[in-house]
Amino acid sequence: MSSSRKSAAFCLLVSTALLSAGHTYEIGSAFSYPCHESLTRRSFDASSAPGESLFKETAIPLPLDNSWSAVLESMGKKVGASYEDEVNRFIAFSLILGARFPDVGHNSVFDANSMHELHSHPGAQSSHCLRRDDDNWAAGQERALERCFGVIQSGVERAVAEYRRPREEQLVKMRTFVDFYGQIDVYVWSPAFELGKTLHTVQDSFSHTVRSDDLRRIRHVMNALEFGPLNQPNRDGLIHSLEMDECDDGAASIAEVAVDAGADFLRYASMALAGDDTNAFEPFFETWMSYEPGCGVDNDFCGSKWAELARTDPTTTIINCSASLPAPSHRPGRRWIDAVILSLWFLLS
Amino acid sequence: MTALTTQPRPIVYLAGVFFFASALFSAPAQAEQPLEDGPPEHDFFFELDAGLSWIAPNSTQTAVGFNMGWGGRFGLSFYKDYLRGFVHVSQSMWLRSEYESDLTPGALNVALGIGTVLFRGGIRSSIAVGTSTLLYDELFDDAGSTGWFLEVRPAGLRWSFGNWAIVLDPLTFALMAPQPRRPMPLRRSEFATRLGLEVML
Repeated sequence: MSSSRKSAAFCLLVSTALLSAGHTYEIGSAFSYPCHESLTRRSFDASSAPGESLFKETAIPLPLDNSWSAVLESMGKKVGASYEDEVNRFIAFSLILGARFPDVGHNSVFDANSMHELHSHPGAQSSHCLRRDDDNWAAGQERALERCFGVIQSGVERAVAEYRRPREEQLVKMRTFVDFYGQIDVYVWSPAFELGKTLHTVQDSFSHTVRSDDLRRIRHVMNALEFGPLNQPNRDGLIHSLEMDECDDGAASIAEVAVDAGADFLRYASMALAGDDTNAFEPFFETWMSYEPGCGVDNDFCGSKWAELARTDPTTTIINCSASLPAPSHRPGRRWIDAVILSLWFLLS
Repeated sequence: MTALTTQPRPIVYLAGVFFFASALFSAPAQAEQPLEDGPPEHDFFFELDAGLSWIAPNSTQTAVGFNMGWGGRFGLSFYKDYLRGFVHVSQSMWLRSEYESDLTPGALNVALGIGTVLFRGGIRSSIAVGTSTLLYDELFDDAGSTGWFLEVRPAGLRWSFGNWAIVLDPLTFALMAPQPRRPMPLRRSEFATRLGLEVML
């Protein structure tokens, strides 16, 4: 192996090892905007007429312990989950906590070890609609998409299964991390929590793929594991873009459509719950998740107008072996945060 | 998920060796002074300091935690400063970071402590035990909630200038629990670096 290939291999190894937390739509923290949370809340709002509740026919149990309410308050104004109706607040909380779950699990956003485990494991990629490291070429891309669709389908099935349980058993305790108290148990309404987890995947299917101009059809699936210099976009998929994870600036129009798709998801999901029939969910896939083959790096994803955005600010590491990356990171602030978090990780490991 | 372990880190040992060594090397200059010129038998002292902490493991999971604070100590030294007794008052302000950024008033700690000054004034150690009171309404606890407080300052460096001294504690450890009761205790531990000014009255 030549020295340059050795260097590249070393860089790839280090890059993979240092993959930092949250390579999906951002979740809220001291240093990041609550994209997943606010998209989820907006989808919930848009899923029903003003003043109505999506699950109005459902007798939703409310827990006597209202710790969940305090945790929802602590999520802050940016999430904007302010409802007068207590049942709507509880549904929104369960959805939002579910939407955070694939990114943080039961842990702190600043627990670098846990974040690394959650995000760098190949098996976790499908929850974020991303490729695994063995999803190569077009066939691998189709496998990645099938797994992504499978996560969505099975998420709805889990929500239906939770909904079939007796009413009082639909309240489950979920362990979550809050400032100063650490991990605490709070009640969630389990069908909504499962739908929130699945909604995360639906949202990421917009930030981690290159879609058609109208954002209805998926043309390309990105990769957040192989982002070193050895990445070959044709084979491995385009490197995950940090710019696409923002729900403002250039990616704001994508986020707007992701809100609409999320609202559609919740409507169809509520029909599946009410009708006890997961086939009621099929129209959602037809509308938002169809795959358009034959679009790749060579033909600029069939001329997608989102191609340039998808190539902006690719994932990299604080160790600069990114000379051959398509575009260097232009976010010194994010690098500084990465540097602090990763320094702490090394210090504490 | 694997929580971070609490094993001692090599960097902590290295920091300890470094600061002890620097104190030992600075001690001879003061050792040349005759013992009779040292501190009097009894004296009052007063100290103000400020500190910064960025690691705050809590009871369930190690996490990065940013804290800052100030404090004061007033007390009496005995036996030419080999033993000190003092009242400790400090405020530890905690930075909220999990969902959004917000510096909270944190807790007010009031304690009684004892300490010693070694190497002819070059190094000091102390321990303080007392109460910790929450200064604001937190998620599950109200302002005024009071529990216990413990702080250990194992080795602080001290540079004397007449009656004045600059004191640097490279690593202090504090445990504060404004609400120690289960099921949701509010407990916080802090590893901090503190810099202060001390005067013998």
